[in-house]
Amino acid sequence: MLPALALDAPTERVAVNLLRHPEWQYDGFSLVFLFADVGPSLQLADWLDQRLAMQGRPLHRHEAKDSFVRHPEAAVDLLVNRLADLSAQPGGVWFAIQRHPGDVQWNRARTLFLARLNERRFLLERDLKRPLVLVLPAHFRAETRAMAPDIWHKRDLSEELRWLPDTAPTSVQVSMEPLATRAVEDGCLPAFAEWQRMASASAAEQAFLPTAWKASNELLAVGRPGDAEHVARSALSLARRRAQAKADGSSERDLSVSLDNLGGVAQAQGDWTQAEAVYRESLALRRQLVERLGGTPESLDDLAVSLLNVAAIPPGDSAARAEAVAIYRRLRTRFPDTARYVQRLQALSGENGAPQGSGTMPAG
Amino acid sequence: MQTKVEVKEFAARLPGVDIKAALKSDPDFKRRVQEAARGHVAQLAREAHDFLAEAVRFVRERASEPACKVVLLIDSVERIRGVGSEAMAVYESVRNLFFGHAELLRVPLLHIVYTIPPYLSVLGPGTGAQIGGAVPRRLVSTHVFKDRSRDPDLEGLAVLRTVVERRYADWSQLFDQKALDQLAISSGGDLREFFRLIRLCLPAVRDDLQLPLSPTAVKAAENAARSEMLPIPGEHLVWLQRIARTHDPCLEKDGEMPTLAHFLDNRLVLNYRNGSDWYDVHPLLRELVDAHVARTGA
Repeated sequence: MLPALALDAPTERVAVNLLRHPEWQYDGFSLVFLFADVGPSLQLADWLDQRLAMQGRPLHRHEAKDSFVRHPEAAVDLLVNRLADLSAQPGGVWFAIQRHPGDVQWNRARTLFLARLNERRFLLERDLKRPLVLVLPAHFRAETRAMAPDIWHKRDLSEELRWLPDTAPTSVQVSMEPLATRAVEDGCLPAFAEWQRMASASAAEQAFLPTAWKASNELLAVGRPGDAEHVARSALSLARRRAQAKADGSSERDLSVSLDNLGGVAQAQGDWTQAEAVYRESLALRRQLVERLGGTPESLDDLAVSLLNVAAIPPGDSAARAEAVAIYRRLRTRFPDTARYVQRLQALSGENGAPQGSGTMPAG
Repeated sequence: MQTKVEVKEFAARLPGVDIKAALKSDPDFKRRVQEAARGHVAQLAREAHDFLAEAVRFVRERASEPACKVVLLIDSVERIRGVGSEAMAVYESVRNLFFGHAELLRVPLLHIVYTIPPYLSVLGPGTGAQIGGAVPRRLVSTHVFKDRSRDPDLEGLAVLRTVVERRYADWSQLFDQKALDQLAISSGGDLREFFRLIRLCLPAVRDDLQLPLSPTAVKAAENAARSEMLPIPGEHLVWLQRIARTHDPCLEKDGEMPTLAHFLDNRLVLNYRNGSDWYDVHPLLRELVDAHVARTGA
């Protein structure tokens, strides 16, 4: 449960202004922009909802899903198609697209969303009979003015809400994603910075794929899944081109790791459909590698990792998991001094089927 | 409407496809339709004119008035904007539409009202002359300043007080006249902005003893409105200062059009008309613009 909204003087002013607006102007269309850090905006939504619900006008809350980054125009369609329904119920509309404030892909999606919404402004004015609060990242005001000047001019109110200095999180964890707010500069992400340099260089086709794998993990760790996916897809495209160019199969391992990498990013965003597609493709490649290379420890280890990735896809695959356990048992028997195989078996015994995550660097 | 074979083939090859939806959501389909239509603009325009003429005849028959005047409003053309590296290409295409294809925009039997972007008349003062001799009309702000100056126009301020009075007769219980006039000046005469400033003042009232609000009391609302227009890059402040000094748009190069469009779209620059058209920086930005010039000597 989120902590209660901390109300210092500036925050109270914003909260009260936002509260008064749906209280005083609950019938008829009106538009409010809230530029906010994710955590405070969620707390504010709860704070407003509690008070408005007591007046019989709870907020209708919509938070952008992961698919927003790929289909922002569909989000406009979704909103427009619901205008009549939303107008039929009391209470304003809270439409939040402020997640992942530092993610370049998410910001591009937000820009496109605003441009399309601006073009269809008349539909909002004509068909929505309730206040609409559009929630965007704290830094997005200038972009909103530039991309949607017509609906910007139509606004009744705009406010900004950021973390209070003493309450801002000191680190950002993927598991706490809804509270992740800080836009992490690219300079703090060395692998990502290096990947961007390599990808833009004249010899981009020779870029080092492990850097991309590391970059996408960095980006996931700081709450930038859209950018992580962008990097993972770029790496996968490069890996596929290399695999096609080299008929001897020497690039297949990189391709399988790139597939697992994308799978891990998809898994982190809850996109199991995408994750399953790439994990299964990677599994097929790794079986081929085991056949061709004659069951080397590395190829078997890779195969086991792929099996565990597939096993983690809901609703789970016990056969794949059992096969992975069997592989690690054989490897532990053959190489009893290799700590990794012992550790993997111990972990599998204790996890009882927990996901393994994305593709890995070479063992050892 | 009859179409050329190529476009018909598209439709035939996509049975059951919602063409309108595909044009909207499928960039590749849209591009192919555009390419197929290119080179047939004249014919498409002729067919559109014929269709519209048919519509006019239908309306006249329905109204039983053979000489009935029919007006077509084509709205939202002013919202066509370019972004980033494509901005200039978009503005060029808008200019080309109204200047290069002006004769196609004149439709027989119809009176047409096009909403055009405010920057178009800056780009080409002869817009109206090329479209049947019409004069572009502008929806300008209420006069709150005298011609090409920053001196308040008392008549304009009285008009805005009347506008408020028609909506709420007891406004003087909420604002003293000086405060309301100050908000009117700060809005630059833009009615939507004026109402928004008024609304911004009200949530801060905690106690009836604060009423009526004084000019000091409304400063917070002015500050909030000003901050919504910030930040402004230094190079833009230099241009804004030229506009403030000359009361002209000061567009020196075509490539700067996106910036001027941004100024006008975002109301950093307002267009007034006291007999003739003139421009000035938004009242809430004047101090900022002047301070920048004083600081940098630009």
